[in-house]
Amino acid sequence: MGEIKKCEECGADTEFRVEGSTEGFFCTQCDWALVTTRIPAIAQDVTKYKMYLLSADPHNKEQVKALSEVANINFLQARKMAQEKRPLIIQDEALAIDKARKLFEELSIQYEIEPDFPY
Amino acid sequence: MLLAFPASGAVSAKTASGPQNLGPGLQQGESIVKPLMHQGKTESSYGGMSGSPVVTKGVGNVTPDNIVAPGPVNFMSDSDRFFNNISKRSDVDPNGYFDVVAHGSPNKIQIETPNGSVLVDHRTSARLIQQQPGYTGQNIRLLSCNTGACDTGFAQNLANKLNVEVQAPTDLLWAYPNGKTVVAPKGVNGLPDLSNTGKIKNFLPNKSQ
Repeated sequence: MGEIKKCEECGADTEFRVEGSTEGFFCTQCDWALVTTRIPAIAQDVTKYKMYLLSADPHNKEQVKALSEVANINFLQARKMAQEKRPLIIQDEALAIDKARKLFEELSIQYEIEPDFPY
Repeated sequence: MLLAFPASGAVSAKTASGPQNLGPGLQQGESIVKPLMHQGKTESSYGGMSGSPVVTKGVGNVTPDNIVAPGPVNFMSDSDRFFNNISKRSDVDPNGYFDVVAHGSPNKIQIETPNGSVLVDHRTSARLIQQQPGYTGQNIRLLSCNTGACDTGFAQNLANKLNVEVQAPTDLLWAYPNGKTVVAPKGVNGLPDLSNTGKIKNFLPNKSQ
């Protein structure tokens, strides 16, 4: 961004700011602002990703609990899932997959996402 | 008529995720809710959130004593600068079109909830619009970024769902403090690229869908 946008009201410099889902150029001296929307790509992605379980320890309560939470199944079902070969855990959009991915990585649960997850 | 779904405040929605009971016609990951809405010059909160998902009730619970935004109906926060700017536009509800103001993307628009922002698809949006007392089946103008960017995206789907014409920007919608807007991509300097402007495109309902 080489050029500095000048305020169209008072001529002062503006600064680029992100405020929630709004971003744009805000005057540093007055209330002028030129703004638009900022929504992260991951939130806009409507692809339905599939997350498969590669490895989890059915005797590890934390791992089973995480599986239960992500797959929205009860603890016993999750324990059974942990013993299956590459079961589908969840099919959802990118934000939900990302949340599950972070949880699994914290707990060293091995997983695979299809199609390739670009985030 | 103005209907806005922006970032922070006006509509309050509660999201539910996972394959649970989300209510009629709702899909996993859809938002459903207890909205706080602005209607015309009023704003309303639907009060506290319950633990179970609740389908949006529209403005049925609007209370008349909360002053907020211009336009008859507004789901947007009065503190959102995009909304503040665009509220000053001179052509509110042009030619009988029902204005919907929201942060948007090619396939969804955003509403704000007590738990954060939620992107909702055309189905949820259609329900929210239909539940507005001021909405009687008018054509719709989306003042919502990128909602007309895709031929089979949000605007077209909303047109099909409501069986009305929908106008929507084909790119980012930039709002100036005086209410002037321009449809354009973001240039290399972060400013609107005025050499490559987009337009407000008209989407006709496809009755076969």
